Amino acid sequence: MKTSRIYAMVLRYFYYFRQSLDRMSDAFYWPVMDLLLWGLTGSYFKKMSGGNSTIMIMIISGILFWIIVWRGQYEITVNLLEELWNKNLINLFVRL
Amino acid sequence: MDILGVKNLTKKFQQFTAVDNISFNLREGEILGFLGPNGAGKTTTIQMLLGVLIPTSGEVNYFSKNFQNHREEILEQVNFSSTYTNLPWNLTVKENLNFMSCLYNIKNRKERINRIANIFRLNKLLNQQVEQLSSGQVTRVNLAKAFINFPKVLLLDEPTASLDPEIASYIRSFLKEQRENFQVSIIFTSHNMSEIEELCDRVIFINQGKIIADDRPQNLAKSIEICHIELNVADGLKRTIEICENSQTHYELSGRNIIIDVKEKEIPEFLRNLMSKGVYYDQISIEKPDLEDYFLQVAKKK
Repeated sequence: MKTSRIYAMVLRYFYYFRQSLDRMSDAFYWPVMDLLLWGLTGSYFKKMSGGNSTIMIMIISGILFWIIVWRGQYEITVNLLEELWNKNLINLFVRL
Repeated sequence: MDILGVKNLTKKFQQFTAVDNISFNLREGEILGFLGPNGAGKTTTIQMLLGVLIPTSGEVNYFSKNFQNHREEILEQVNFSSTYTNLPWNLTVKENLNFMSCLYNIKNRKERINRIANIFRLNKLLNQQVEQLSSGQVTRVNLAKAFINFPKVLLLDEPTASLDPEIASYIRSFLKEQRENFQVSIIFTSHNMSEIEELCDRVIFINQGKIIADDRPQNLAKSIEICHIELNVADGLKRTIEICENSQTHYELSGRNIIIDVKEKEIPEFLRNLMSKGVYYDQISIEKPDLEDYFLQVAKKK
């Protein structure tokens, strides 16, 4: 694997990403909303449970990891579909 | 010197054999036409030559090196353009060429893109998204992408489809120039027979996965003996038809115009025969067989 090719793919998705409000909100807005929602819920439960935060740390960590895994598989799937729709897979497979 | 050598290449999809034990070579600076009806196996062969499909059996060698063992090194000097692939439609032409030049590890990307844009007359289109372009313009962008690394071997699958005659002619001249100046070897598929005749040094005709002819385009055309004689008969149309029917010659009638299929060497005798029967015609044209006739003959056999 050559760095130039990795850079090419990063460039390709960067160009696409910066034009698409949908993709930007998918990548930043919704994960931030998730974290805010669960963070505030967590802090509420922490107050209610009298300062015992272990369970809440577990929940928040779980959510963080879940977002990372989910975003990863989502991006791979959507980008693969995107390449299929664009009929661009052969261009990439010839070089990757 | 052989740039590409294909030996006993076969591709099977379960029971269906798309490419059946074909062997051919491509010499340095040669333009090789790859012809055949739809579904003949041309695109499958090209995809195997690009390493996108793995052959069921057989061997591909580029620059005397085995393709499977030196894939990466070889593909740096090979490029392609196909009607079956597109560039991302939501990126601009410049963005596409930029990311493609990164894929091919080109050093002076800006300079290369400007040069390619000049060659393919894309300067005014560089900042337009591919989806906004006409199909002819997209074809030019695809060709620009194919030349981005100035390859030694080019695989072009119907590269001039959707181009207007002026641009198509310009592209053909450009391909010839590349061949003459840089000894680029090209495999070229097209359904435009006159284009193949004009451009290709040699033609491989493939049908049902098998090579059925490998020769110069002029020689393939010569293998068809039948010429078409078109006559506008002023007097003696019935007699002309009688002559055709008696000699079991195929003809097509349209008003006083008749097109008769006659073997090339029998034309003088046929015309003498018409004269002796008092047939008068005020227009005559003799159409010699060309590559299209060869193609049609093979397609009919199929």
